[in-house]
Amino acid sequence: MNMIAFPPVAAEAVADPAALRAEVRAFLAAELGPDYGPTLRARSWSGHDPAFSRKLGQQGWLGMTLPRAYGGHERSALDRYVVVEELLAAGAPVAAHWIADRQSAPLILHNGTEAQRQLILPKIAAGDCYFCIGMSEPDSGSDLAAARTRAERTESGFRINGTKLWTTYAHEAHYMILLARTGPAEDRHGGLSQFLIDLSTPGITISPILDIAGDHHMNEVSFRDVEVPADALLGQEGEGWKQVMGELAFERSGPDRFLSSFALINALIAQIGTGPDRLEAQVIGRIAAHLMVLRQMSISVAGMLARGENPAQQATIVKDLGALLEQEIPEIARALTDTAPRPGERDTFAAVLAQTILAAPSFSLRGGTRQILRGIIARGLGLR
Amino acid sequence: MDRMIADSAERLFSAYREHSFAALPAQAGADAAPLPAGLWAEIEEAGFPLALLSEDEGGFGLPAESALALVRMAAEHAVAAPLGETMIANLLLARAGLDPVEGIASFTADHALTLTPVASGWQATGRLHAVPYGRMAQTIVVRVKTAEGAKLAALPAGTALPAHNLVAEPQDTLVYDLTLPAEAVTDAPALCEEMLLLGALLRAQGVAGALSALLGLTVDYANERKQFGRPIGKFQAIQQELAVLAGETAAAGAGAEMAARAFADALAGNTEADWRLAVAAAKLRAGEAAGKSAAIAHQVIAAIGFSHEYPLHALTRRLWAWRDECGSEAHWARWIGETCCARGAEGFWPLLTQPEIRGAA
Repeated sequence: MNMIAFPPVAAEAVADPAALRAEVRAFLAAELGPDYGPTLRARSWSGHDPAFSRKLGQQGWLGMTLPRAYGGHERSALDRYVVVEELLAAGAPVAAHWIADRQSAPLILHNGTEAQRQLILPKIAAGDCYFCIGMSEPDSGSDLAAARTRAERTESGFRINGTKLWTTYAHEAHYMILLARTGPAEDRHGGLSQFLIDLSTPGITISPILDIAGDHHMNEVSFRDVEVPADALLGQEGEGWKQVMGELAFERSGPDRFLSSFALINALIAQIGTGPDRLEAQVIGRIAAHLMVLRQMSISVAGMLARGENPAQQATIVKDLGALLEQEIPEIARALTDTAPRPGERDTFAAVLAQTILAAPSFSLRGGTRQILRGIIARGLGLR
Repeated sequence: MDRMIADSAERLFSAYREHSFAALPAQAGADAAPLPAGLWAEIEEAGFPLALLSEDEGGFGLPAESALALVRMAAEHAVAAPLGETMIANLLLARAGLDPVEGIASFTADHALTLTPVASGWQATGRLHAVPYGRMAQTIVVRVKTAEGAKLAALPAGTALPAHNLVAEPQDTLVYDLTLPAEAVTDAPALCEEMLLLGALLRAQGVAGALSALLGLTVDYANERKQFGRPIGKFQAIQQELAVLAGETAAAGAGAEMAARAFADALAGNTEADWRLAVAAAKLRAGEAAGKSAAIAHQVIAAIGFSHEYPLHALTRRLWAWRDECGSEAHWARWIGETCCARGAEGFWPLLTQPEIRGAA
């Protein structure tokens, strides 16, 4: 069964990952400094810091795989993988550029016009341009093809009406890649198109939605008679569904899908110390084994993406297994430590536990719910 | 070269699928199953027992990853044979500077055997425990500590006290009291210290192979079996279960390949990374996948899958047997955990990323 095969990466795709890794580690140690403690790290990839993102851009660690003509660095997908996993393991504040670098840039590179590439990609690579994802809506979450936000042809372009929901960091982003209906509702897949939306366009309202920890990451983004030029269309009209599916392969397979609780694992190991008892050793060993295998799978997907293959199934499997592990970590930590979670404290184990418990429900929702992912896998198995 | 070997292995093992199933005794407690007639001769003819050896050592220069893929493939066809054991035994002999052997060979980390120097060689006295295919093996490789340092001994067949695992594979105690010729004992190569891990490496491959067959069998069943007027695979409840089965199978497979690559790198001497960690992780992950997946397959295939006539148990019994052989999940989790904790929180991530990303051979 090919859909569950995770082949090794091609030999030519890997230059000197160890040297790059050492370079990134040294940079992070210097840049984050000794005061960047567990509670900051535990934000995982939701820490937002444009200054940090620009520094990564200066290092050449954003838009790494993009052509030089667009400000990129023509590095391999595996080089990018090394940088990304090091950033995540360190809990670096990567949220500002995360979506742009992970999925918007490759999407624009593959489907955008030359003008769109020239306009956007160099800014993403510099760490100056941030994106949000315009997929979910109030009445279409998992059922993405039921999107109702409509883009109607006008003389000069399109007029957009509708609402997008759960839009992470829309309030800090410059652009949204919007999935909107350009055809009839009956044409569920064929009637969708993607648009490159400048969020400063009049008629767009971004309202905060606080999460269960009271933090503001998510938003509601409403479009009311928003006029966009014809060249805001991203890719082909009617190809939105196909493009979104390609985008999701980038979104679902990365190390951000199994390292979200990594700060808590580190805190747990620190708590246990260097002489674990039998149970503690078993628990940490099991987590380590899962992480090692997930990492191999995720690297394999990066290699497939780099070869231009479509590893949508494998990406989905990585995300499903990764979320299970991420969500298990706080439960495991509780079983070992007998420490009540305490939000608001700084750098205590109890605080990291609190943060992770409150973040964990989202791990199997964002990027596709567990049920949807398993439905996709079942389709790959030939069951639907 | 690689492709040709894989193709001939595929032909060989698929031809013996039914025979291996038919050889399973009706009673799980009865006795070990015999090898299907002709199977081992064909395996030897194909040269597979030497697959881990370099050309200098008498092998055909196959990358270790591809050699271990043969073990995975045999398991995928539910073919019971001591191929992996013989491959590893020959590798250990080669690393000790000895010639590979004809026939079935095995190895074990678990023994109470002593070697004492005598005029004509070494006196070997004691027992080997749970030797895979012990009664059939013409050579058994063990590492024994002696007053003259750790030695590798190539033992001949011993007196077998028969025992077998859940899927009727021999796991015999072998009793010895004999004199070994001097040339059957040499200084133990470093690889000999990791006999348990070498067994775990094989079991991880085996579990991965058996799981991939289990997934195929279960999905096919779900597509064919109709209830309430449609194939049960059309029900979301079943689909969600099978998706979990696919994920576990994928993880076990990826882990087995990770272990095989790490081992290949270590054999080739082109890495500083500790292959042992990758193998232990793969065995643990495979063992966990084995338990979860066997439960799902039995739930989906239901009553007929619980019957002796249906081939599901040839796979699930292997999974339940192999996950506990050569170190259970608990054993390897503890070992990995101790390794991780000893390095402290700061050392955890560097340890996980120590097998550096590398391209295929």
